[in-house]
Amino acid sequence: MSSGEQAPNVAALIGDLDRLAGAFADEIGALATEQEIRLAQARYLGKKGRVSELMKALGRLPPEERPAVGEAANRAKASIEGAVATRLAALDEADLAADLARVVDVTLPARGAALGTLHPLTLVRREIEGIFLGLGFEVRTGPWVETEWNNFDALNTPPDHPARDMQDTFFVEGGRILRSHTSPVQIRTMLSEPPPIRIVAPGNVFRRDDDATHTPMFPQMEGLLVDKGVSFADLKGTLLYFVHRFFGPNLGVRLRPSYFPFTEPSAEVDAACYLCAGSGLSAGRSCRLCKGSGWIEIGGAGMVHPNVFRAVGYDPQAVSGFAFGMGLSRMAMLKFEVDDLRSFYEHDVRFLAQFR
Amino acid sequence: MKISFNWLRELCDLKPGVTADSVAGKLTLAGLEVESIERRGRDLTGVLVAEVRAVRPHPSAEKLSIVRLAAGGAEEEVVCGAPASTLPPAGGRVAWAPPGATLPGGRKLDQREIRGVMSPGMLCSEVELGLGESGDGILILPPETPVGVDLARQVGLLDEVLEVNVTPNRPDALSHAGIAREVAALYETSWRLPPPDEVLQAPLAQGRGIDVEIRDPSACPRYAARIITGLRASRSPLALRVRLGACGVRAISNLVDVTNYVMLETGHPLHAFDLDRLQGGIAVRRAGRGERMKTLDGIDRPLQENDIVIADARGAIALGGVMGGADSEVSASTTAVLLEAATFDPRAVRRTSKRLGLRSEASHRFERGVDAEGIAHASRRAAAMLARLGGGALAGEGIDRYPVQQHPRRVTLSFGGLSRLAGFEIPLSQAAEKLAAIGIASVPDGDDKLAATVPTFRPDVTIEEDLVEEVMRLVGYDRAPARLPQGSGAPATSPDAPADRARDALAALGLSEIISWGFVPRAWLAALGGELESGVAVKNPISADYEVMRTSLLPGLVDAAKRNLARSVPDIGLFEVGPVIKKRAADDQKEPPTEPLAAAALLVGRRPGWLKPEAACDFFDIKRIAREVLRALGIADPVFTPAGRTPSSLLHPGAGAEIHAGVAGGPLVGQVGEVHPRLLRKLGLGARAFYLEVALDAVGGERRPVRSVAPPRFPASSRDLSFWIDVEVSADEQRALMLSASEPILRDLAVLEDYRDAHTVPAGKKGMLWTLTYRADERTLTDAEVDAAHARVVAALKSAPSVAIRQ
Repeated sequence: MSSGEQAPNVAALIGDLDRLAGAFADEIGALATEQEIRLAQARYLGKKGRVSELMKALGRLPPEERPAVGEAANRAKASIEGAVATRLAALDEADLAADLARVVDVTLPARGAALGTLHPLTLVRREIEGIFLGLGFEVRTGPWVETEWNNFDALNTPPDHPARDMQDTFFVEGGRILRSHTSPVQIRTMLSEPPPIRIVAPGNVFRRDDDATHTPMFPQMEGLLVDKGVSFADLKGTLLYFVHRFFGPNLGVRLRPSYFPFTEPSAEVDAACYLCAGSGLSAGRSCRLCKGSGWIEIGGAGMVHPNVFRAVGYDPQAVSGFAFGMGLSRMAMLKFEVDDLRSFYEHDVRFLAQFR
Repeated sequence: MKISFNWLRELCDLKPGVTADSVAGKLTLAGLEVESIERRGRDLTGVLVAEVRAVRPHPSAEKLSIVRLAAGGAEEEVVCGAPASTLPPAGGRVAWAPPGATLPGGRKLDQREIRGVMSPGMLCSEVELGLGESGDGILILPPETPVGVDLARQVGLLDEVLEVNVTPNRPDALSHAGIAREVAALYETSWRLPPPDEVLQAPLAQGRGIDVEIRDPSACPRYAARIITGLRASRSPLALRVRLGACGVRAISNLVDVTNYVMLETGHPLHAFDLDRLQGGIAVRRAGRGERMKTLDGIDRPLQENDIVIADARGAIALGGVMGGADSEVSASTTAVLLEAATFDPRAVRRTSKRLGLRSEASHRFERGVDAEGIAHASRRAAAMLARLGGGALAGEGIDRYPVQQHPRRVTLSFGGLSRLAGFEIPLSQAAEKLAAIGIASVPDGDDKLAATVPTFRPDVTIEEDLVEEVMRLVGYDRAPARLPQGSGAPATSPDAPADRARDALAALGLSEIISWGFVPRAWLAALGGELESGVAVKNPISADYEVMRTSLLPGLVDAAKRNLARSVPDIGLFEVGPVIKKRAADDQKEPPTEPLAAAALLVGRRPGWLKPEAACDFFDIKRIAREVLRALGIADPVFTPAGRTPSSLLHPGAGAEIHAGVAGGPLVGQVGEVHPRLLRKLGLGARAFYLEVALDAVGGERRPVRSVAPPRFPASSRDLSFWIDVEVSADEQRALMLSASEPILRDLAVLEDYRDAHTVPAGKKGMLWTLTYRADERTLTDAEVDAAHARVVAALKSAPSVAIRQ
């Protein structure tokens, strides 16, 4: 009798299938990588795997016996897949545990370049520009090398005028000067366009002063507003707005009569000291910032002189305007509590690195 | 201008409670800023005026004497260091510092035994009282001085001196009288100018008359001369010397001190000539060509034609308004003077004093404008005082030449003009009151105008706006309301925008911004060489550090790096953004220099590391900065061409590049590379440095709008490509070879390696490794497609003879 003809023993077959699952579980218990586990899984469940080998006999079984064997095969397959999943999960847990055991000294320094810094004078310029941009002013600039006419004559300061002594000027070859203030930008702007005008003009200016409290080059910010019916009250309101935004709300502004050839009336501008809130006293002593006066000087201002309008071809009967100017180094010293003006120009990165 | 508060009180009726501080505050808020208050005489306390009762020699010391004195109380006997013969007789007045008194320098008196005699305190000399420089004996006071009073108070030593910053438009405030006028207006009280003293009037002796001729009235609108004779030069009275001292003027002799005193009182500079040293009449004229004069300071000075001189028959005896001459100076032997009171052309005085470097109290006033109408009073006041203090007499009536009569100015103030400029309403009646208080009279002109008469001492008030300022400062600027201007502007792009974008990018890349001087030492530009060597020169530099305008930002950055290295900061990344000043060609100097904006960066030392020090910076660190800054400025794909082909004086010939926008040959926008080692030697930097410079004007101001593209939807495949190639063939040239295959699906080429290890690389060659990325927009590529395209790219590369593909 040929064995091919012989029907397989169903009970033995089911027994073999059931034992396979147990054998697999034993086998993968010793395996430590997913790859080995998957290979083992393939040896049992692959096309040529052991489950498939046993199932070749299925076709020779009488149909009524096949479901029991199929059930056993599915049981073995599920058991093997379950064992794989469990084993893989255990391995992953072990990996995770190993990963979680790592400890980094979080107090060691960060890698890579730090952010650089903008110069404090750039920071205050931008802050002040931003305040005036918000009021509808445009930013204008002009050249360092200027004509005397733009710098003085057009600003109602003719040659031999004693006011020229207020600004000891550098002369350069070619009959020109280094601008001694940013006011020539007013002239350039008014010469090139009709009113209304609302500009601020930041930039470096040059004067022949070089000591602890003066540098031969320093940054200024000029402001000019020309329109119909502009008054001293508009100037005061604009400066008050600036002081509130730059130094702090609720601080007052004081305008003191003064003299500039290009404005009439003219004023020195004081802001209430932000350190002592204008009281002159901080911590019961004379305030160190305003020296007890309650005020800090921040710049000059005034109503544009009719002669300036005439110089640029504006009709002083038709328009009026105000102008103001301030030293940005002073603003930066106040804002950042810088004691020594010279520190802005000594390029010490240990100083500069603070302005992040 | 130093203002003595004692003096001010004499001229101005102030209530006893009004303090110097309160006056200072009011003046400051009225436009005459008081910068400081010096409190004088505070270190001299308890010294009394004493009457000498008797003097006898010290029993045991020849050079000492014993003075019996009284100062309102019991008599005391004080030992004195001066011999009896030099002391005043009984009835004389001396300064006695009793026990408890303090002297300048902190010395405190007590009771001491001197050579066996007890002495309660001492008699003081001027030096001990802090009054004088020479110590010739003890101070003897005038016999009419009240006894028992405090000396410091009595002679005016106890004073407060206001340092008033008088703006150049206010010559009227350069005197005690002028300040008194302001203070009286501010306190709504009265003030007065002291009248001339009553003194002896003598007839002018025969032959002593001197004529005055003004040859150029534009130079000198008024000249008054008086002759005072019978004088004797001596020291001025103590109170006068104390007052001059308080105002910062050194006392010299009565004849000179009086001119200074009256100037400080009235604002009129005066000059006294020694009459006996003049010859012939006086002429006021402009200097002649080649004329010279020896000024008071003993220097022989060449004059120019615009200078105003006072001349006698022999020639110039004074520089009008600036300084007297040495040959006509008053001296200890002077007995007669010609007193000059005049006004001179302010601009001429200013030019002369500036040219000669002679700035005096007189020139300071003349250049701002001295009131011609006040001359007569000042001349009379000073002449009388000279006669009184010098024991002489006014001789004759004096001469007053006044060819150019000065008149008060008529200026109209309208209610509309006042309110429009001020931004609030001030009634004209109030305006008129305020103006009247400072000497500006006015009458109503219709309903809404004032016709004001501005006196000649206010040359600054010429138009309505000036009157508005006068009214506003007297009612107080604080009366003005504050409001924001109506309307609004239209904010436009800031011209500094590209500069600020560059700043932001450079700071984000880890660099620190510096600001360096616009002018530099000439040697810095000489080191740069080439066209950068020639900068716009400053004609009056303060020092050799600021001789010429910078033509490049490089030397300033190198200097900053040096300073940091000197402070032991070895790793430095700095940048600066600002204009450089480019001189025009010699034939084009009429045009102003150009001022292109540049952004520049400098790296020195190591790249920012971690824990153990990392490698030194090199070209590729600065190139990264270049790439990112240009990207921030809207230049996405700059082309770097070796500077070796177009040698720059700034960069190492083998490690520098020009940067072009867009394509090679596109606009030059900057340069980048290692700083030329020879330049570093010249500039004194002992470390390698890497430099970037971007011409912001060439980059353009407008930020380019971003046009976005969706990311690829289909995957890419990459192939690596390794080959030997001649070292001269640059990466850009290799890229161009591969791109010459024009493969549409080749989307990216990136260099992974450039190695030149002599052991493994054939001579003259370098090993390159590229990775090439292939991708199609509309489908996933097959391996076969990619392989075929890559083969064509490799074939194109191999068309270069020097390439050897490695597998």
